[in-house]
Amino acid sequence: MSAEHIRSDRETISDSELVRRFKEGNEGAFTLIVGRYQQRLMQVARTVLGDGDDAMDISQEAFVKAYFHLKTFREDSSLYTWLYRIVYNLCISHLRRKKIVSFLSFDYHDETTAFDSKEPGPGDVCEHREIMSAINAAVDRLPLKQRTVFVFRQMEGLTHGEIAKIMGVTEGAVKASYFHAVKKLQTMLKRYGDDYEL
Amino acid sequence: MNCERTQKLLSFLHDGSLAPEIAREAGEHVEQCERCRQEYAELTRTLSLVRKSLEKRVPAAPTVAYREMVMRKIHKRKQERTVVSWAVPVAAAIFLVASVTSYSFFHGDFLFGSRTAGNSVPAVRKTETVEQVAPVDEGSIITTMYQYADVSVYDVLNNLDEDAWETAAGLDEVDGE
Repeated sequence: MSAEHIRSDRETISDSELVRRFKEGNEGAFTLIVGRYQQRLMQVARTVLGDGDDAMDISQEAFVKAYFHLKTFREDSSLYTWLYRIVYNLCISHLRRKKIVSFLSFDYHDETTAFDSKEPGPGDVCEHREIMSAINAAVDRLPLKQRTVFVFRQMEGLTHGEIAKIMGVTEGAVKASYFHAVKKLQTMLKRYGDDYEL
Repeated sequence: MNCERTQKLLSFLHDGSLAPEIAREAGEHVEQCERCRQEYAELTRTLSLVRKSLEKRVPAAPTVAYREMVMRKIHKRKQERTVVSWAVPVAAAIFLVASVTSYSFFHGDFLFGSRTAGNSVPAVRKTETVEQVAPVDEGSIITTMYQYADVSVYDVLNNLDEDAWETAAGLDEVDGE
């Protein structure tokens, strides 16, 4: 079999087929799963944590956890929803731990106020790169739940129902969070007018 | 559908999550109303801008090193688990034997000689589970989201922000769930 064939086979194997192969003892199937989802899990971790530093570690930890539980995965939901749920829960635990640590070190500050200082002044934003960082800062300034819902919906293309399952909330809660995330972003980015393009 | 309702539904209209009938009504209104059309265009533009920006900050493409790191961590965890799976039962067994031996030695019935009264076993208490209640946030647009976007009043209130309370206060359309 040529390298081309092997590559196309790897790309076309469905998630459920990979899970089946892994359950039958094929460890290679798991490395394909990691390759397929590593970037997306890192993106989710990056979004929830609001910082890229821990995203790599947490996303890797999610795969480790998935490895030891994949054999009991009942496939009630899709593999990616399951993986997203694992990484999301790990991120939340990580944030809680961090909050406790910073609280104990008398350095506690609430997340909702932490982003206030990042707000860029109108004069600061004039270049392409700066606009991008202003937009990223606006997304990071959203409350955790709204930020996560927004990125799941806009970047990962998940349905409100899938997001609800991942986050362990109702579909209505997801819709409400999405509505407010969009509204806030519109307000925060209004000042950049119609001329900016990326 | 009027402007006020339509504008509250624009984000759902944009992401295609409205029920077909509501989406049709809202869409028709947007086509006919200059103000709502502008609002919708602005929303589309903002979301496209944000998406493009977020796409550029997506972590670097998958690397072999990342995968190797994951597999190495798994291997390490497996080894730890193997050690734990042997060490814990062995330690428990040693502890049990030591406890039974010392107990029976000091109570004069060395290794199950005679038993005295007091065999009652304390009842094991089932720990109570506490349902986690989400913190109540604040907000507005209750009626529209309830009637048109299939979002319950509870969900709306539970997922709004402090700064949205003022708007909520002015909303007297709620008939209750």
